[in-house]
This record gives sequence, C-alpha cells and structure tokens, in this order.
Amino acid sequence: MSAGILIAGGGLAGQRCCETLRARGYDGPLRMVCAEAHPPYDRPPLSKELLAGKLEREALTLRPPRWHEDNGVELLLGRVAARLDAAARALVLEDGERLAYDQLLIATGSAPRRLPAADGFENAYTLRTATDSERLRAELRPGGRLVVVGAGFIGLEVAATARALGVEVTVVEAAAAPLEAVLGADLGRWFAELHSDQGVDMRLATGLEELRGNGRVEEVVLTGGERVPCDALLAGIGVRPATAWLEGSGLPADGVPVDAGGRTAVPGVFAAGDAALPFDARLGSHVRSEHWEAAVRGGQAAARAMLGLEPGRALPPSFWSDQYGLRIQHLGRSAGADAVTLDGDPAARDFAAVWQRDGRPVAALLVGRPHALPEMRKRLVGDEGST
Amino acid sequence: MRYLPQVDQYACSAHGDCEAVAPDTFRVGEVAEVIGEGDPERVLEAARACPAGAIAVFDADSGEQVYP
Repeated sequence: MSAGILIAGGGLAGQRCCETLRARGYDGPLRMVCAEAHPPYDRPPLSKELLAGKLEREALTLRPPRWHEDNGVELLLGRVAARLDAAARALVLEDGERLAYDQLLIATGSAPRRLPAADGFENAYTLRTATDSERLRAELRPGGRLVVVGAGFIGLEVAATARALGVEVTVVEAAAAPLEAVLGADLGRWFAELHSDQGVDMRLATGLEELRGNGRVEEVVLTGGERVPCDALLAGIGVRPATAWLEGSGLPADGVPVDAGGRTAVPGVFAAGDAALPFDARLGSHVRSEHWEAAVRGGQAAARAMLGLEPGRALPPSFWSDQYGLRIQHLGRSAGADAVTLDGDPAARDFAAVWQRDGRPVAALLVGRPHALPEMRKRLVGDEGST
Repeated sequence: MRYLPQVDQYACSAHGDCEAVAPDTFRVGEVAEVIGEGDPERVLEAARACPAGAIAVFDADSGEQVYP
C-alpha cells in the first residue's frame, strides 16, 4: 500500500494543502502531524479578536469539526516532528514513531524569537498560539500596564488591542521608527503617531537595560536608566522558521528554499508557509514571507505540484493588519526601491504609498483603502516577472 | 469557454477583492456570493486575487477544476 502524503505541521499552509489535494482528486492516504492539541486554526485573530475576548478559540478553527474525518485526513494531534530521514522517506516524531511517506510537506511554521532577558518571568509572553493569546488576555485589565518590546506588526496589533481594553501601553523599539526596515523612516513615523494618538507611549531608538521583579516583571529599565512599571510584557521581536528538526536531513535547518511549486532540493519533499523560503523572481533570491497569504498560496501550490499540476501564477506577496479599526495592507517588496510616491492624506488615515524602482512599482502600502488592493496588485504583477 | 466560480464560505474572510475584480460575478456582504457568470478571465483573476484562497474555478463544459 502507498504511504501517501504526509504533512509535517498543523497550521494554515498544511490545511490548505490538504484541501487542494482532496479538491483535485487525490484519494490516497493523507496525514497531518499537528504539534498542538487542536486541529488547524486561524492565527490572525490571536493579536486581535481572541486577545480582545471578542472571539473564543473554537471560532478560530479553519474547518468545521468533522471536516478532517469527512475528507479522510488523519490528524495526529499533539505530535511533533523531530527528524527527517529523507533517504528512507520517513518522518521521525519526538515520541520515536517513524511515519513513512511518498510525498512530504514541511509546514511547521515559525516560532517567536525569545527575549533572553525575559526568561523565567511568568508574565513575559510571546505570541504564537491560541494558548499564548489566552494567557496574555488574562493579564490585560483596564488600568493595567503592558510593555511591548518590538514595534513590528504583532507588537503594534497587540498594543492597539490592549489600548481598546483600557490598558496603559508602552512600546519599546530599538529602531528610530516602527517597521523602519519595511516602510522606511517617514512611514514608520506615521505608524508611531497612529499609536501615540491613541495614548500608547512609544519609546523609539530605545533599548532594554534590565527587567526587574521577583518571578514577575514589575519594572522595565530602559537604556538611559528610566524605569517603566509593568504588569505584563510581550516580546514581539520577530520569528524564525521552526525547522531546527531538519538538522542533518540534507535540507537547511533555518528555512527551506522552494520553487514556485513548493519543491525543495530533496525529491518528494515540499515546503510551504513560514518554514519555506519562496523564490522572488525580481530580487533573484529566496526570501522569507512570514504572512498568512503566503501560507495559503504556498500550501495550494505545493498540493498542485504533488499532483503533477502546473503551479499557479506567482503574485507579489501581500499581507494586512488591522489597528484601531483601520485596514492596513502591504504588497510586494520595497527592497532596492529608488523612490516612494504618496497619494492621499496620511493625516486623514487615507493614503497609498508606492515604492518604485526605475519608474516601475515594486511595493505598496495602502491605509484605509481596502478596495484599492486588486488594482494595485495588477500594477505590480507586471513588474514581478510573472507569467 | 465558461468558468464557474465556487466560493468556499468557510474560508472566505470578506476582503472584497473578488467583487473589485469581477463585479458582475461576485458580491461581498458577510461573505462573498456568486451573483452571475461574467468574463472567464476576470473570474479567474478574481480567484487568484482572493487573499484567503477561498475561490475555486471550474470549467463549465468539462466540469474540471481550473483553480487552484
């Protein structure tokens, strides 16, 4: 009997891969190794609706409860990939079980970077799972004090959600502006003002000197010596691919390069989502894309490739963020851009910024313009070397 | 050639991209609904544009799935 297709990872990329496989007529064995004890669920609400208490965990599942059973997908819940034996086409789990496969999807996602200084403090959090979100939620009370380390999208979304709950929020960021690496200093400052206007204390170009407290962080000492009182701390300082288990497999353990069909360098092994490094035709290199849409498209593309179908057309990477009820969307990659043009009114929170290289658009930021995305995507697609 | 789209109501997050690309075919309220047939290339473009990957497209004559 065929060993079938095995998905290492229980997130969005793996789920969408299973769906496309079944929709496209694959009727062989299909198993999914999920590290968490829950069927695949949606993560964007973890920093928003779930954290705010507007949704409960059960509402986040990507499919109704019986979907996997009805579609012949065996979920191995609470099981963790530990090693890949590519020569024998087997995945070894932490509990020692060996699972044979004909084709494997690496979709183990990413893990938050740790803030070493926060180790051992019980009110210091990172945010990746529904459990992380629920534990942080329990710390957020009106008048309580949250310190967010890192002004990336996760940190800023948590800051916005916490403010809406009446929490006093301080954001500590080493760079001179939030999101500076993606958006540049000017637009980064716009984000800083968006949050300052809502009462967030933005501490930019500032580092952490020390975390003080007995078991819990009670006080954060900033570079320069200022002390900020703290009831809970969230570290949002980026993620790294959760692929250390590939050590010794012949594939890189820090993110797996893939082609447009999710194929890795090892026959029969594919990767998608945060664990994968898709090829960016314009930049001519493999680049991480740690976003929801990349997981959807990567999972679907890998399923097609597994079945011998042509990959779909490549699209510029895109993601969205919701902060204070404002829809923020980003398309493409601004690396190598030589100009930025602005259309609209940043003060009114209604504008589009377009990054260009040699006069052609390569990336865009849309604020308060959700319906402008398709047109903007069309403008960018011609410049992404896509067919 | 006719393309029939199908919206996966469970995956749809009502971003609205499909309606913006193919207004004759999609209307987005709580979730996206198919309201008509429209130009096949636009239907395909709308499916590709969906950030949630919630639109499948079928060839109306052969019944074969075209996307994703």
